[in-house]
Amino acid sequence: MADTMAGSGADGGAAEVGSAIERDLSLERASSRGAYWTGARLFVALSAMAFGAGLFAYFYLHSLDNNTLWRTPGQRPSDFISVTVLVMTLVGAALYWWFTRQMLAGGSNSADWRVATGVASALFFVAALIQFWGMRRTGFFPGSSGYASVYVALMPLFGVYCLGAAYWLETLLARSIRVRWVVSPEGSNLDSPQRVTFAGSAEGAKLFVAFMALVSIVLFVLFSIVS
Amino acid sequence: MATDITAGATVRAGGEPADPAATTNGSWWAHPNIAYGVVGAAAGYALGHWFGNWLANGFQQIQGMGQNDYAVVLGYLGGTIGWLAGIGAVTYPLLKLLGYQATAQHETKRSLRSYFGYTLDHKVVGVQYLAAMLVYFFVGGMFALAIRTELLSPTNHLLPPGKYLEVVGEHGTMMMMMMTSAVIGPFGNFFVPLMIGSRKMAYPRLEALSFWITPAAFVVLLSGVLLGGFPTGWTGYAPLSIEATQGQDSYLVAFGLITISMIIGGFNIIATIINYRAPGMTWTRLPLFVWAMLVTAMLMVLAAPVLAMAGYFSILDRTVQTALFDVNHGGSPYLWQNLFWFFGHPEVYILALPGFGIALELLPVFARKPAFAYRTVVAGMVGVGLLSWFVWQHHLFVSGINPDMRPVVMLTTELISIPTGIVFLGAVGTLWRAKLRLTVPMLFVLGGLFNFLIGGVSGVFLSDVPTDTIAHGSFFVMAHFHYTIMGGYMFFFFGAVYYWVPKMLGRRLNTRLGKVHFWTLFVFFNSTFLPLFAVGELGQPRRVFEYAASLQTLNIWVSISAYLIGLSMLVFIFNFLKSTVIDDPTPIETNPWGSRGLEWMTSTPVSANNFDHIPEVVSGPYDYGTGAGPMATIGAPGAAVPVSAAGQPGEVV
Amino acid sequence: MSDEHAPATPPAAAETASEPTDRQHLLRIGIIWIVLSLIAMPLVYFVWGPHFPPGNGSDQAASQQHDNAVLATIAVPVFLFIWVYLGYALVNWRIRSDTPVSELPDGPPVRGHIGFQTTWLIVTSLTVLSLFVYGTAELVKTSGAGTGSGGAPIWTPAGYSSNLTKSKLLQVQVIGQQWRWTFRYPQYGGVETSQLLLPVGQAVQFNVTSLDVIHSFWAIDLGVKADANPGNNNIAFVTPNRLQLINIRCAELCGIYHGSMATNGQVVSHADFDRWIVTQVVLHARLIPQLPPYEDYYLPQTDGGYYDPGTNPLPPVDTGLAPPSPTPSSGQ
Repeated sequence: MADTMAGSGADGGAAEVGSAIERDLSLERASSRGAYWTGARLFVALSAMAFGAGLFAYFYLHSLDNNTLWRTPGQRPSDFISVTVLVMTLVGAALYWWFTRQMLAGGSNSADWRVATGVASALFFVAALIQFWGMRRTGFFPGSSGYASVYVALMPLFGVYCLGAAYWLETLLARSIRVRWVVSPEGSNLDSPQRVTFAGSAEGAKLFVAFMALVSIVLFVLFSIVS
Repeated sequence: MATDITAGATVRAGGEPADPAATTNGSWWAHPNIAYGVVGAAAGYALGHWFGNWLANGFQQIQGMGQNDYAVVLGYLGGTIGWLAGIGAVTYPLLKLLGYQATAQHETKRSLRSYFGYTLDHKVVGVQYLAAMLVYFFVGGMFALAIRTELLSPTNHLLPPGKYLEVVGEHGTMMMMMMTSAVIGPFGNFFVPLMIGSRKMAYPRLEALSFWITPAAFVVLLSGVLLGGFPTGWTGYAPLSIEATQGQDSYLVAFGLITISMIIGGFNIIATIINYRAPGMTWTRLPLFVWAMLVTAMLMVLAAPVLAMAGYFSILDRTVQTALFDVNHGGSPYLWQNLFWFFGHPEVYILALPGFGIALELLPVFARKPAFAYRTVVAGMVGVGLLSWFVWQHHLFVSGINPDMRPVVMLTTELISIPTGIVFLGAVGTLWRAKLRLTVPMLFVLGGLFNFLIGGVSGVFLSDVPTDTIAHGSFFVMAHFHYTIMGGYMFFFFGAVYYWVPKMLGRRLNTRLGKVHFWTLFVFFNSTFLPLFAVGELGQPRRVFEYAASLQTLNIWVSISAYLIGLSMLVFIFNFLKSTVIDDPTPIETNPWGSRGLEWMTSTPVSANNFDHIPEVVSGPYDYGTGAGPMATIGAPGAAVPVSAAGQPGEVV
Repeated sequence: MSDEHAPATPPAAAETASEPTDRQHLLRIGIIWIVLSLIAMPLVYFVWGPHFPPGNGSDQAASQQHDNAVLATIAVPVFLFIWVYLGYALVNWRIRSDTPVSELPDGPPVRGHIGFQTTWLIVTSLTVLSLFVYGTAELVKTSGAGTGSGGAPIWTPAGYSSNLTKSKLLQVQVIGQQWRWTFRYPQYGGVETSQLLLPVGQAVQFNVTSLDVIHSFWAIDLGVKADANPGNNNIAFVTPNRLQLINIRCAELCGIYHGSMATNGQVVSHADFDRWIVTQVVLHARLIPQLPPYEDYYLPQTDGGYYDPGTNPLPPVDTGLAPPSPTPSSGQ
């Protein structure tokens, strides 16, 4: 593929045009692969900034302790809800991460990957629902303290992110059902645009679920462990 | 499975559906379009509003008006989703749930209708952005004229105080919020792929989405006046923002929408610049405009989420009664200030950097010399981007923050003038023994540099705590940021319009009218804003409708000059409309300015795929006077090309 | 592609032999620049300087005025350099803007100049760093240069004490609320007045706070600006040094009447001040006991009073929600 197509365009022979087209396609495939890599990291970075703003609110209000109302004694979200959400997100993230790593390396049963992804997506989805449901049962009024306010602000955001993770994983699963070979392609399919797109997105989701796992741990520690 | 897209048909392979936005044949009502968007917006608003009322059952803040903050916020969000659904932005994400991955088609037919639709062609998005940004700018400008009319007299009042603050807030927010993408939207989207030798953007759908959010944000922001407006100005300080009435929600939601647009737009630009550069387009050959877009986009993607969170916190405080900004219940007004300005300072560099990029891009062309100190200038732009994260507390110098922080922030703020100065280093060096052509774009660049110098030096007065004591919260600050953002950024913006419209729209703006526009704008801009430095130092705070009688003469002078700016803009509007829409098209050269840039090596109008084949870049864009040949070797412009080889489906997105 | 300096050969064809060399251009620009700067800088510093805002009605204002003068003087050569250079370029290095593209001549391919770039960077860095040092010095010397320095200021004048009873400074609490300023004098029984009177030559400690939204106390002639934040004390130091009228404006948008939140104060002699404050105390004798006790800031409490949460524990807040059930397996 080393020919630098000097773009003699109009009159080049069919073979020249053909190889120029191949060059274009392979360049654009490489670009597409890279775009997924860049995009996943950008998405994690910007999400980190958003949660970071929440963390800043937590620590800043904690340090100010205005009117000694950073946290009134005994304020704590329900353990049942927090632990359930934490466990679901961690398990979902781990499942997806593990099986995707294998799938991308070329190993593993396609069915295994599909089941893992489906279960992970369902776990994230249910975790989101439980989190939203839990907002109505916190046992404290949102404005009763700084801690309560930050909790009411951050947890729904986390719930929305869980929905996002569920969506992403579901689209990957649906894609793998519609184009069955994309999970374990062979031969020329390895380099096909469908595989490039799919693998790029799957890899990006791997990074994202790792991020989600980290966020869920941090939030759990901040709200349910730190006193 | 031979494919043929020259007839506008869509590729089908493996059962892939065609992307609905790609086909331009068929009746307008069979496809998502603006009309459906408007219908969707209305329906979505009604649904959201009803839902909000149901949630907040009984929370009537204004008796009998059926409006509460839940209803307003959810109504706006529902309206936005309905709008996006109507124009077709939601279809693809839903199709993905069913496992579809529609392939991006390269359109060969670009009709007038595609300019009003959700399109995958980054060039169409660029033109859409240009039209929209000009509309937002002029609407914001009208509010400014209303402000200046009110300020003609300290005692006779045109507007009641509440209305005056509404106008102030609308003007400031329209400009600072909507115009953030004024360069990166039209010119970044249109030209970045062309300048790096790419045939497409990394994420065309996201790019189109980032555009289509802006009309929704515009409408949401403007509709605030129907709800009584917001009294906080564009900075939205709590607790005033929490105690304000429903108009504040329109500010918060509009800003939230724009942050999403910024994030998405920046995301796409970064992915494109990093991954879609043509072979031979190394980092050291990258045009300075593209470097500026890259740094700007990084700032957008990382700073906007913080503002989104701040706005979200405000909405929560106003609706579910959290106490994030309420000092009585464990919150703090400083939290808003810190979050807002942590975004706010990178925001002003998001405005300044694209302007620098334009200036540094145009100077070599109209000086016929290489860009001076290219690597140093790039380092300067990156340095500005990095340092901009560490200076936000200079907006809080007198607010009672920890006094230990102030010298530290004074230092970082003073330091940021070093990389900013490097831009002038590049300009000065490029002008050395140049062959200067004072075309209209060059006039705007030079005028912009003149203005930005004044704006930048006045910033030093603000970075120094003792002198900031006088100037903070006064008209001095106003003059400072109008000089940098309007005198700098907007002048560079107009320079870019005159420079690039011949490529974007295939029309050349009239030169004589352009010079009239420049000279009148330059003179009246300076006569409007230069006195404001004095007005501020002499004791007129910002956002006031009453002021010391001794300052009235200066205020009258400023107001009259402001009207003259309006007249100058009318010249531009007339020129723009006449040249682009009213006059019959005449064929123009593909490279009227004689620029080496890769974007000028395309045809005019630019063909659907930009380049027949991905170019091979062999030299830099600024190699004037070195005897270097054209930047790249590319195919004959304008030829239609079958995109796919046999057996392969078309481009995937 | 390293930065390199192309030799200064005159361009081909159309140029005459009298084309100035690089050195000549540099000299001309440099001389014009230096001469103009040498004229303008003393004018700005000595002639204009003493008239800069905010005047010298207090030590802090005088310091700010001097700072303004210094910055303006340093700004002069910066402006002049760019203006002279631009002017020179436009006069000497222009070609017609309507030159056809095919006939456009190129300038010399100068990609950079290590000497120039390095000098530029060094000069800008030194200037900026010395401004930082100077600004910090002014800030320290004048105990905060009239700015609001928060509740625990680090640069304080002699006689400062965080304990009000031990402080030798005149304590004035500035209370901002939508849309009036009032002033409390804790050393005089905590009387609250709507006028600000200060004795000349006396070091004053302003304790600025707000009862509702963020305001900003700007005593223009004294060079004081301190944000008024609810639930916070913002301290600013000033020593007025002559009899004068003080213009006071609000400098932070606080609602619809922000524009009219203005008042006047006065700096008077010590005797006049003593007479005035005693009159105020007598005038408000029945009101003073009804005011909340003097505090650094006032937070409304649920029992209707204002008190220092440090000394008085808060009453429990009734949220109206049922408390969580104590059973461990309940699905709350």
